[in-house]
Amino acid sequence: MIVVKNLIKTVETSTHRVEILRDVTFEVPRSQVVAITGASGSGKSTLLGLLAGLDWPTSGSIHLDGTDITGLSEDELAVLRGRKIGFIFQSYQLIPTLNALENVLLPAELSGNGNGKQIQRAEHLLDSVGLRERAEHYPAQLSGGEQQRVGIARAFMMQPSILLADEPTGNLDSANGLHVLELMLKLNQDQGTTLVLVTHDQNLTEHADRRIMLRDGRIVSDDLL
Amino acid sequence: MNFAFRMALLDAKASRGRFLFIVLAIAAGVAALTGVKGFSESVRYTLFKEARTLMGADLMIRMNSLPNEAEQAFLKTLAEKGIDHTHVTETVSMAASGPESTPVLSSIKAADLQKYPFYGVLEFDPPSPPITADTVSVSEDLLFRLSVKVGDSIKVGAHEFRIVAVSRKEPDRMTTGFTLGPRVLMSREGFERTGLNVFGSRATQRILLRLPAESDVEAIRSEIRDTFRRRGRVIDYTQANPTLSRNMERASSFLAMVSLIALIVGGVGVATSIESHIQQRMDHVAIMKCLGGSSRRVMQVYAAQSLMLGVAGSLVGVLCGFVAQSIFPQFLAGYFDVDIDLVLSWKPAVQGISVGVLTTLLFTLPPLLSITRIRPALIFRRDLPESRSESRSPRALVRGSLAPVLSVLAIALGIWLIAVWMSGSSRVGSYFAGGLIGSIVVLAAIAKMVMIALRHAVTRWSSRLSPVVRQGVANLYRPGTHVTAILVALGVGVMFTLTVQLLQRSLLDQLRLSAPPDSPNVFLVNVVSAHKDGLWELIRKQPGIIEVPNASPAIAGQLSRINGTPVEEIQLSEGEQRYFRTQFALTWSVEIPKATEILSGSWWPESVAESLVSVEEDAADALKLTVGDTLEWSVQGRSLSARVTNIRRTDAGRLGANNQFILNPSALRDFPVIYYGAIRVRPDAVTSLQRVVFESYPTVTVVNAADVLDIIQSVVDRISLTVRFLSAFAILGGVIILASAVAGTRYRRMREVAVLKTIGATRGKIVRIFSLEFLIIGVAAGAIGATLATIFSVIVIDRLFHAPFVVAWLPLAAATLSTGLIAVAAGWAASFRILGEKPLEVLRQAEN
Repeated sequence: MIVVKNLIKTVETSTHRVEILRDVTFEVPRSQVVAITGASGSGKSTLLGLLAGLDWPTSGSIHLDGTDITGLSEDELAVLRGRKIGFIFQSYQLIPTLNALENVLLPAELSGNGNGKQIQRAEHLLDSVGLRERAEHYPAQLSGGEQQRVGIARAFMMQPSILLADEPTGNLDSANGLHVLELMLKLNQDQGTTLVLVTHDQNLTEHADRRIMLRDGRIVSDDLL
Repeated sequence: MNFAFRMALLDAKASRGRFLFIVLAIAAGVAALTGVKGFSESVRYTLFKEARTLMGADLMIRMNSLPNEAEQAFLKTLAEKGIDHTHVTETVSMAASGPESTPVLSSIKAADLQKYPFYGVLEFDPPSPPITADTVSVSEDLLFRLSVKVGDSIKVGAHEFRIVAVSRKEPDRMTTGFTLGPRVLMSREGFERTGLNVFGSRATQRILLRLPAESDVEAIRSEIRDTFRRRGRVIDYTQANPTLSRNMERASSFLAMVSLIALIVGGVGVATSIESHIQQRMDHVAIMKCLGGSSRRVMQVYAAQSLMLGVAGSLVGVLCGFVAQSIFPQFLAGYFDVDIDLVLSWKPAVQGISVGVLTTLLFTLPPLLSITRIRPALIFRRDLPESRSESRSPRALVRGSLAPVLSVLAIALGIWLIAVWMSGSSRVGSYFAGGLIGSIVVLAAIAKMVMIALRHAVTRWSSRLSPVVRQGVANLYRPGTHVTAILVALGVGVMFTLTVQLLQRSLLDQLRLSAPPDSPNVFLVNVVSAHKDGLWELIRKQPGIIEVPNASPAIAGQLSRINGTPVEEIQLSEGEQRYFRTQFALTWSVEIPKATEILSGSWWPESVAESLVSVEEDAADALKLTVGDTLEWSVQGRSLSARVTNIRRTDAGRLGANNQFILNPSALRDFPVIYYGAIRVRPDAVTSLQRVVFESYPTVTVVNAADVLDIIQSVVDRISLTVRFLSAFAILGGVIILASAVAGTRYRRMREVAVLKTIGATRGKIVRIFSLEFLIIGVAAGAIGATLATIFSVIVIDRLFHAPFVVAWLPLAAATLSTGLIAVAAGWAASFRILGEKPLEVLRQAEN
């Protein structure tokens, strides 16, 4: 479960002050699929980053499964991410020097659990995204869609309770985008993960349980679909 | 395989070019270090293996006077037990080729060539020359100095000899220590005929002994010690020539310090390269942190990478060190007369690898710690401004600023530890580490200021400068160029190399200049009583003579008692023990010597019957003497006793300042003395004086101070060459760093070249822009290094001589210019291919 209360994020540059999020409050129950939409600059990606503990809010609180993450240090957040949060990036963000299997296995190795059992799980996940034969291929040898599928497999490696996806189909054509969407939703169904997506993709939004729209850093609508 | 090492290896595959530079930067320093240490091991091994050859015997008794009757009888009894012995005499004298030739100060060795040496082989050209009472073999430089050849005649002392060979190898030459001038080898009969073997002369006598196999060396040593006591020092071959070993050890430690400079320069290169590498890997670090990697876990990956690079660089360095080790004998050619066995010992290799890896890890600390500051949100936003929540707690703030400070302190501590280890002395190591760290800090500060000043100057006069100059200077501030680090790395090497060169010349110049203006410049040695008056009269008649003080008498004496107590029963430190071992030149004087201050007691009146002695300050301190104490010496088998009447201090630059004991005339009245003279002659009249004196008194040695300084100069030159060879490794390290930085900015340069070409720049213009960039770096490094070298030399000369340092502009200009040219060459070597890239191709890749 995700509980966000009075979240404010302000950024100060050398010349001016920008309020990216203004008093955002909402809750996401377990296993819900939430789409966060809004125009460019509305604060969607910032909100997602804060939910992942990739940055700290200026004020307000974020609770993930009962833990207030706003009080944690950077390393504590990293450990939390390793255990509870899966992340899918718009630009895939695979490590170019690791092959597909190694990229999927990376979260387990970072938490010190890169054992045989985990390797098997990584292979199974690659299989479930249809890339078993490409396990030894490097990102440079994979298409955009294939890279994103590896990214999805990686995001599910640690069986996270929360999956955050930032424009997961943003860099893909419609066919690949649809395929990626189906994979995410299937894995979400299988594992009961809470899924929060930032997206412009109408198709994605239609498959969500709920849509939260942001404008100028505020929630302007929050509808169950 | 461990996750960190596996990730490190996979990451390294994509950065081979950059890592090659890191490996080379470390290898340069390790190569210098293992070359020095390895050569030292080889010399130690050779000294041990060739110990008998280097001594020419199993045992050697070194004395300053001929064996007395008891000692000769003892040697006879040893002979009856099968212990053969032979006698070698070494002294200095004049050698000349004819009445018109200028005599040359030479080292004379006389031996029974039927026996000498017991071990090792003398090599002559032609081989097996007949060295008799009338023939000699000489070193090649004597032929050159006297313009003679094999078959010609030379005169040594009172006898004429025909040269029958050139001495190519005398393996025991090193055992005698420092030799003065060219060498002459003659038979004992020949030596008798020279008349140089006068009573009281300062010749060194060596009694060489060959023991039968299975002899009890220790027992025989003990017998010899009991017989010769303090008159002779007993050395056996197992001590492997202690003086030489000690000197080699000192030289090795010093040269290891010099190599350390190259290694530290390499460390600077490692720091800049790893920093660039982590900058390029920021996204990877951010991704790993997003995926749950803590800072520590991520740091482990890059630490593992640094470790692997350190090991690789060290291994390459050790291999190169073996090659460097084989070059050292070239510098020392002529110094050793045995072939040095080059051994690949594990100890220098382990030392080199340990120090190389440690240096790599130390210098990787600051960039590694920067990983903690890479935030995972970087994935979304590159230009992350500092948000208030970042400075959330004082603890975090303190921790953030403490880390860089601690890492720098760790580096300084590491350098100190390595310096202490390599030098074998905490004092020497501390001075060296302090000096090196201080130099780097000062260099970095000056480099930074120079760059800031340059930038301001170019900005200010921008409109008056050509685009080539503006662009060339602007390139210095391109991200990733690490200009300050390059200036420090190159500058350290230039500074050290130039300091050695500047001091090498000026030290000897200062020696010449610092002598008081009325100091003597010609010394007369080994003047027997019978020749004294006639010689002095002859000298006074010669042109160019400025001052001829009276001859000083001297006789060799060894302290035997202090206040009636035998010296063997007096406890002194190891260093002070030399006062009991040394044969002192005891002289007399009626008047107080010039520039002398009486610290306690008083000088004696002109005629006093009692034997009195004046003691020099240092000797008095060491022997804990006061006015009224009684000293006794053993002089030519007799006893000489005198009462201390004063303790004095003489100006160190004066002749005679070294006379520890000066007696009144009464004390030496009944002793056969040798006379010494110190005269002042116009420099252009010295050689004619030497000819005239040699013609009438060939047994008198006439030493021109200028010649002695020339000999010292040639030794200093050779040492300086060796040191400069090693410090060149530091410059090499700096060049590698420059090339690495240039290669690291390759893609930016390619884009820049593509854009410049697109807007109309010719290849020539582009070449000028980049050349100017490299030239500025090199010239700045050279100028800063040269300036610091001058400052350092000024300080040293002032401290040692309290004299002004004369700036030698030519070496400074040469160093600055040559560093500039080296930088241009290195820069182009690392980037010449970018000129040929097609602009469209490059720009398309940039878009993608």
